[in-house]
Amino acid sequence: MKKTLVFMLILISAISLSANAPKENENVLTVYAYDSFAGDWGPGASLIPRFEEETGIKVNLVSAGDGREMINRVKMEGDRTDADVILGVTDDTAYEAYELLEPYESPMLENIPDELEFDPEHRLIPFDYGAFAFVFDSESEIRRPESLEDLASEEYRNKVILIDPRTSTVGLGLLLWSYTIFGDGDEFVAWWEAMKDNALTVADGWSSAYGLFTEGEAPIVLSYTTSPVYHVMNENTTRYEALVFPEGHEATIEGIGIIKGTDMREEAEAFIDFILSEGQTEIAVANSMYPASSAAELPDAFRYAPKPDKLFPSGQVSPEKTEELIQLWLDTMTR
Amino acid sequence: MAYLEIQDITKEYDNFTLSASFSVEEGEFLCIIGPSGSGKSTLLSLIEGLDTPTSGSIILDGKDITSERIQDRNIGIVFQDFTLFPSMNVEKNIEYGMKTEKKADRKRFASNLLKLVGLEGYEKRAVTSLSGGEAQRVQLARALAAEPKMLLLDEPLSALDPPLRKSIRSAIRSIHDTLGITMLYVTHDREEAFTISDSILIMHDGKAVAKGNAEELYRHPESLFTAFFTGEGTAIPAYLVYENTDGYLFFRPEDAVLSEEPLDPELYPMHVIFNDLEVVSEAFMGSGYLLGMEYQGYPMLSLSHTKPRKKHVSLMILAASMQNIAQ
Amino acid sequence: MKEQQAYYTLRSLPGILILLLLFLIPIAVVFSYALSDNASALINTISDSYTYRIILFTVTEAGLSALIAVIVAFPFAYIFSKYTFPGRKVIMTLSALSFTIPTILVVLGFVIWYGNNGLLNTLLMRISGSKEPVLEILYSFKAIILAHVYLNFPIAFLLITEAWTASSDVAEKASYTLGKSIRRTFFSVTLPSIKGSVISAFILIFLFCFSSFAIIMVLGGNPSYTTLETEIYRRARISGDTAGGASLSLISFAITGILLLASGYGRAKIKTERKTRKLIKGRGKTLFAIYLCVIVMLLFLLPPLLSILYRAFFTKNGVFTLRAWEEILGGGFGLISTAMEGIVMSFVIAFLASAAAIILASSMAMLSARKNSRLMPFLATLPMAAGSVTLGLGFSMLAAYIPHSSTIVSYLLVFLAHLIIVLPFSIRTITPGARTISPTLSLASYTLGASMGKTMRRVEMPLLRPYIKKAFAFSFALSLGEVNATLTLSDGHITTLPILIYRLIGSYDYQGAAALGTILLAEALIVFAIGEKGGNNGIS
Repeated sequence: MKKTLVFMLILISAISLSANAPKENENVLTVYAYDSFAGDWGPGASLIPRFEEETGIKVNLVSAGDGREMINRVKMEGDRTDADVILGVTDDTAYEAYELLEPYESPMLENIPDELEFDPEHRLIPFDYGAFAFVFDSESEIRRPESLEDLASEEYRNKVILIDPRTSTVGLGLLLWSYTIFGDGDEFVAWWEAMKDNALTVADGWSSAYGLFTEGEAPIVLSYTTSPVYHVMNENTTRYEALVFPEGHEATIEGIGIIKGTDMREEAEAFIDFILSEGQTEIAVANSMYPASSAAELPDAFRYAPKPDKLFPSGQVSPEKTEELIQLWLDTMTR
Repeated sequence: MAYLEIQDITKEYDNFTLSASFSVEEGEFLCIIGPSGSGKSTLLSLIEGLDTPTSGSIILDGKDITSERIQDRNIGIVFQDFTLFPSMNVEKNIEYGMKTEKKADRKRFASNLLKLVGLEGYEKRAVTSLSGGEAQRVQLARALAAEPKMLLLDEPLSALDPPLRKSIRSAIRSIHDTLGITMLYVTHDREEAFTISDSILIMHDGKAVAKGNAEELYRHPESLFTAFFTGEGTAIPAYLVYENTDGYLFFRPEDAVLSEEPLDPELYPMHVIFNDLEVVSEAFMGSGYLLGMEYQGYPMLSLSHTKPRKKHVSLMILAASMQNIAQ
Repeated sequence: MKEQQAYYTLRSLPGILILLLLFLIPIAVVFSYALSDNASALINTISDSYTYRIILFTVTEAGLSALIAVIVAFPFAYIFSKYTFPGRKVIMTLSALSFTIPTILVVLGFVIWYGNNGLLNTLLMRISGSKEPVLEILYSFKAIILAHVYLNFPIAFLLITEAWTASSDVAEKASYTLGKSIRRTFFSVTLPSIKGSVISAFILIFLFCFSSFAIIMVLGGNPSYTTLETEIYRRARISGDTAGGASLSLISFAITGILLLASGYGRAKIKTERKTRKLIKGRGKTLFAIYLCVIVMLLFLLPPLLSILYRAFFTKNGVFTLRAWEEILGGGFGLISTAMEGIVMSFVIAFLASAAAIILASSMAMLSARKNSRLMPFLATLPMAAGSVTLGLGFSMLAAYIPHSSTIVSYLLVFLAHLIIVLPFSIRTITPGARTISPTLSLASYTLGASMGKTMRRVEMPLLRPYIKKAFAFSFALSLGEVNATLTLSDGHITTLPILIYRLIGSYDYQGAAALGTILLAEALIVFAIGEKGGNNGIS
């Protein structure tokens, strides 16, 4: 018992000592990124060494939670922040980040379609995007729904797995999508009232929803247009199809930007250019998103991730409006 | 200076105060007796070191141990409860408190101690498999293994059957005599105290009221409490016998000789005579009958070899064997 | 014995400090948010009728789940505390397993087994020839209760069985001799003697269900089933309304706090019975009846777990494959190639956190037993009362203040977070053991010249060992399945099994997740088995 205790004390003191040890070097570019980019399994683990090798610029990659947490952190740190670049701010939260960033007219912007450039001032530059869509199990015996409108028809009763907008960004995606299509009037309420009957369940998050779907609990689930890619690549099946609706799709665009007042401006620009060129394919595959650059090449399986004809960038809806919509949604669903 | 000096110690609680002062010689076997609530356990906890006295001091072998830690007092204790360490066997239990580190010495010492307490060959036994008597013997061996300056035995036999008690009691006494170790033995059993001890300390209401050897205390009690606590007896107001005398006269039942005929005091000048007693109870005690009688409203006890045939009897007691006790 | 108390107080200080700091800091942060701006957020929340609706639902759902779990556990606890039979311990160990698995796997297991397209329904449909699901259990309120009872049955079952086995049956016999019926005796003699454990189980389950999240949302199937935790999570994480979320946290903490105080939970129990019940050996017809009950119990407990096992080896179309296993063993690339690291990491963190927990908890349990104090059990319940989302909220706020550049900081944070989660359980498990150690025994050791340390090491610890082993096993299992705090604090640097499971599910690999779930279960099973070994004393 005592030995363990001593061991623990040594361990703890060793940890706390070394915790203070590494401090910022002069010539290190600090990048704040969301967890799934910066984690050991994320694309950062292989991209960063490549970038360092090619440019000789050292990068300190900091995993700073999700998009909103990153912004809060930079705000909280204020002038003291080490961050030079912030990676992974989505368009719907972008308005919170603008005040922290300086514009950058990257040469790579020419490969990025205009509809993705949600920030005309280029404080945030898109590097990948995805679109919410319903995924359909083609082995089920029901008819493929043709549109959002169609999905609300009675034949899909208990056939759809939805996700709660209160706890999931995917769920929120559908809520905003329906708002873009139907507005916030009677049409919106009517559609959701129909969906309330059609929903087998409203899951807490995408993971559980998609799990129910692949277990065959219901033939339709709210997900992304890119979802079939995994099944093609890993299971060699085209059973699951992403449905493209003519009304258009709600998109999520992820951007990268330079923190105001950085003294590493040049290095930051090099990093962004790298992400927008060489980094594109790897990030797209790892995130199951489309690359923002039209020049990027994609694995063959991405053929099964149909690109919607019409995209609605999010970020058009104010937080107050979002809150109001959630309330309206909740009232409709629990009536 | 005596080996153990209890010097005017007091311990105050909300509704109870202990005060005691006495001394114990080296090698003495002292029994502490008293009814429950008399302060025996408080006194014990002060000597053990579980608690510190409000005032006064405890001196053992010339050293003031009043506020010394339990560990440093070097007083061995045999508890009433089962306190052998269940995770160790008999031998390990005994070796636990030994001072020597040498393995061979420890083993030999343990085996000798087991021999001493009459449990030869018990080394490897699990302590949970021991009978109550065996467990107490092992406790004794374990306490001795730490080479204590003094041994405290806290009602060590009260959980055992009477026949077993007798045999272990004599074992304890013989160990005392063999080793010459000072022992403090707490008990509520008067007979046990009488047979085992060199001297007895009587506790009453938080005070040490008397100390002496068994016979002294029995024959010449200094208080009514001591008188009654050490055995059966009769106490009557002294003025019933001697005019203008205060206090009480006390005698033991075996000193009161019964007569079925009235006695003439003139014929027995050395005795005190009581005539016309009414017999109210008879209890057969083996060695005779213990008779309960009433004399002018006072109860009296007498031990008689025979059962009286009459309802009204007389008693005669040697005046010298009657104790005049103030309180 | 003041010195001994001082000694244990000293030894307990690190544990008390950790409990207080890791509890107080996050809570203080949360409170400061709720009360900032003249507490306007709190006032708004209190004056909103919606708040009361979700409070009502949360309390109803948690109360009902706890009640039913306790009632269902009762008959089984009766059998296990009255009879002994071959396999008794194995089954008790098995029953504790569902405790380990991350919620998302429980949900998955439930769907695979009870789902409309699940194994049970497929089987029944084949038997009955029906085309529609025969048992539509999921996606309703009863599914929530079923899942909660399933998850928390072990708590009720083990706690009540333990108390029942430890209570003496002399009073019952006395009651029979006084001519009282079995029923009357049960209600007036037996029940009062195990009442503490029943209340304890009820409260614990209530707390767990009070903060239940995924189960309510996924299996309930309707957004009107909204709990306080869901709303806190939404406000803090999705809407960015930290003050509103903090206000609800405050209300939630107030409710659980009042409940804990009112129930006298954590009150020091002075009484320890010397005699325990002698278990009757099940024979003949009795044994048959016992096994029948055991089968019923296992039929309830095992299928969702076995479903995970099944999914680890079969695709959802029922085709046998070892793909996931080959990938785990090094054949894969991407996420699953880190499986080995996850297995080792989980083990190391769980081991260190549990080891630290039992070391701290042993001293704290001894202190609490010797002082007979309510402080320690009270302290130990605080983190539970605060709820995982509230603590998580505090932790993530805290994490923002700590420099994240170092992986080692992540390790330390995760270690501390796991410690605060498992420490209360360790204290609760070891304290009853500490109460059974007579103070005289320690005293005997002191009179033999042994120091406090030697006494603790050689006399007290060996007696606590079965309790410590059990505490270790439970702590280990709890840490092994922990996800939320690890995710919040690890900063993506630490890969544990449950996190990997979440990520695999997040990247569509359910089979890999099920395979890792199987490994998780196996790891927990081994530790439980070791924990059970040598635990005699009638405790299991």
